[in-house]
Amino acid sequence: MNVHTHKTTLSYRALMLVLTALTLIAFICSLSVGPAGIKTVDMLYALLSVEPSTAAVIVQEIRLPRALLGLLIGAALGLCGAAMQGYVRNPLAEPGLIGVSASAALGAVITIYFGLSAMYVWILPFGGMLGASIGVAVMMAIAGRESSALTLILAGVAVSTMAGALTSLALNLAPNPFSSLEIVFWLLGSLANRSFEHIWLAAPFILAGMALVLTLGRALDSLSLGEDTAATLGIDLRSVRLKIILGVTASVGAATAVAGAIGFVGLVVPHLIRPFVGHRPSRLLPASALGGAILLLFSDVAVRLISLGVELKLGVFTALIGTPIFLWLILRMRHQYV
Amino acid sequence: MSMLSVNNISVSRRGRIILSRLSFSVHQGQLIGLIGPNGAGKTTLLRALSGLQAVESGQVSFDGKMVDRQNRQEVARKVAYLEQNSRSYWPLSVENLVMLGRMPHLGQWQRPTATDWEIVHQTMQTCDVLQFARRPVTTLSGGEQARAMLARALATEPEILLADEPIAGLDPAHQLDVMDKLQELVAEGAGVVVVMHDLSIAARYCNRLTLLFEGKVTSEGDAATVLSAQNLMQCYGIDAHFGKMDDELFVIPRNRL
Repeated sequence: MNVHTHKTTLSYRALMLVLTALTLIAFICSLSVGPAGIKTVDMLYALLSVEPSTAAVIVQEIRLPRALLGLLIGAALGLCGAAMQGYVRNPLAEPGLIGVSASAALGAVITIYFGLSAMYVWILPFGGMLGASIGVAVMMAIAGRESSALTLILAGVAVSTMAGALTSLALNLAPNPFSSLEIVFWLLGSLANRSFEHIWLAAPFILAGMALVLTLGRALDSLSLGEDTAATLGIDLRSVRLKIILGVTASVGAATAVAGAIGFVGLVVPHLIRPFVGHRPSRLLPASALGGAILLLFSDVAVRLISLGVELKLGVFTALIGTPIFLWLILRMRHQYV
Repeated sequence: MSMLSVNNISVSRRGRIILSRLSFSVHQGQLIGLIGPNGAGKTTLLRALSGLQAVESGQVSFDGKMVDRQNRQEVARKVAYLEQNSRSYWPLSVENLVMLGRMPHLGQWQRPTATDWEIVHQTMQTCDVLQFARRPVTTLSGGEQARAMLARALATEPEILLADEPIAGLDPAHQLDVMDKLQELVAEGAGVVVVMHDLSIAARYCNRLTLLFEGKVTSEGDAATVLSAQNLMQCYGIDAHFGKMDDELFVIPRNRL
C-alpha cells in the first residue's frame, strides 16, 4: 500500500513537472509572437541584451510585460477558480463568484467614463482595484460574519448583478460613442499594450493574494467532507473564509483591473486538471495555477496569430474556446453520473 | 481520564426549544447509546458536544476546560465527530478520504508519515473498506461509504468519538461489525457516544443509554432501566414486545399508540 502512496506522489510530481515545462514553453511562445516577426533565438538574445536595439525594445518593453501579465493573471485565475470551487464545493464556481470581477470592471469603467483613465496609465487599474475592494466589502456586509458558503454565493451574485447594472448604466450614459467603444473594448479583456507600470501596480496584489490562497490547501481538503466535519478536524472556518475572500479579492481584483474580464479560465482549468490530482483540492491549487497560466499564455499567443483585420480580444477568445471545453466536460460528467 | 461534558445547556432555533437545561457527559471507557424519537435533540446534543453548536446558556467542557477556549486542533486530535449521512463532495479515493482523519495530527505543511499511512490502512481494514482503497468514494454503495466515513473518524484515534447514526443504512452484518469496532475502541480506552434507533442493538452493545425526549434527558442508565414499557410509550408512543435471550434484552416495537 505504501508503494501506491509513493506512486501517486511520483505521478503528482510528474504532473507538476509537465505543467511547469508547458508554462515555460507558453511563456517563450508569448515572447516570440508579434507583428515584428522576431525569431525565437533573436528574441532570447534581445531579451537579455543591454543595448537599446529595436528588437530589445520590442521584446523588453512590449512583449515581456505582456507575457509576464499573462503568466500572473492566468495563474491567479486558475488558482482562485480551484480555490473557490473547493471552498463552495461546487464545480460551477468561478473566481468572480464573490463579486470581485464585476466590481473591478465597474471601478475601471468609471475611470474611463469620467475620462480619468486618460490622465495617467495607472488610474484605470487603480480604479479597478478600488472597485474590487468596495464590491467585496459590500458583499461581506450583505453576507454577514457567520455566513456559510451558500450565503456568500448569494451575496456575490447580488453584488455582481449590481455592478453589472451600473456598468451598463455607464455605457448607456456614455458622453460620446468613443468612450462607450473604449468601455466595451476594455470589458472584453486583453493583455495588449500593457506596460511594466501595470505589472508594478498589479503584481504585488496578485502575488500576495495567491500566496494567501495557497495556504488553504489543507482546509479545502477537509472541506471536501462539508463545513461541520472540517470544523471538527480542527479547521477554523472563519479564518478560511476571510483568507479566501482577501486572497481572491487581491489577486483576481488586480488581474481584472489590468486586463479586463477574462472568463472561463478559472472555471475550466480546475475541471481539466482535477482528475490528474485525484480530485484533491490541496493538490489542485498549484496545478491549476500553472494550468491557468498555460491556457492564458497560449490564448494570448493565439489572438496575436489569428488575423481578422482587427485584434481578437483575449476575453472573447477564452470564452470561445472555454465554452466547448465546458460542454465536453458536462457531457462527460453526464455520462459518468448516469 | 478525558471527559467531555455539557452542563445545563439550552439551545433554541427560531423560538423553538431544541435542548432545555440539559446535562450530559461521556468518559473514556464508556459506550453511551443516545436514543430518542426524531426531533428529540440527539443530533443537536452531539453537535453541542463537538463544539459545532453554539449554546445559549450552560457550558461545554473537555477535560475540565471550556471547549471554545481550547486550541481547536488539539481538541480535534482527541474528539472526533462522525456526521449523520456524511458524504464527500469530491470523488476522493477512499484512502485519501480516510487520511483526512489524520489531519489534526499533522502540521500545516507536514506530509503524512509512514505511521499515518499504517494507521489509515489499519482502520480501513477494520472497517472492511481496504479493498476499495483506491476507488473513488462516490462510486461506493451507501453502506460502503458509511464504513469509509467511520474509518475516517477512527483514523484520528480519538479519545472521544461522537457518532451520529453510524449504522443507519448498513446491512445487519456490517451493523454488528461497526458496533464491535466501537466496543473495541472503548475497550482500548476511548469514550463513544453513538446516536441510534435500533433499541436492541443499543441494549446489547452500550453500557449506558440516554433517552432524550423534547430536548431533555428522560431516562439514563442501563438498558433495563431506560427501555421500560413506560418510557417507550411516553417518548416513542409505541407499545413494544420485550424479551431476553442469553441475558440480553431485545425490544420489538409492536403497535403505535
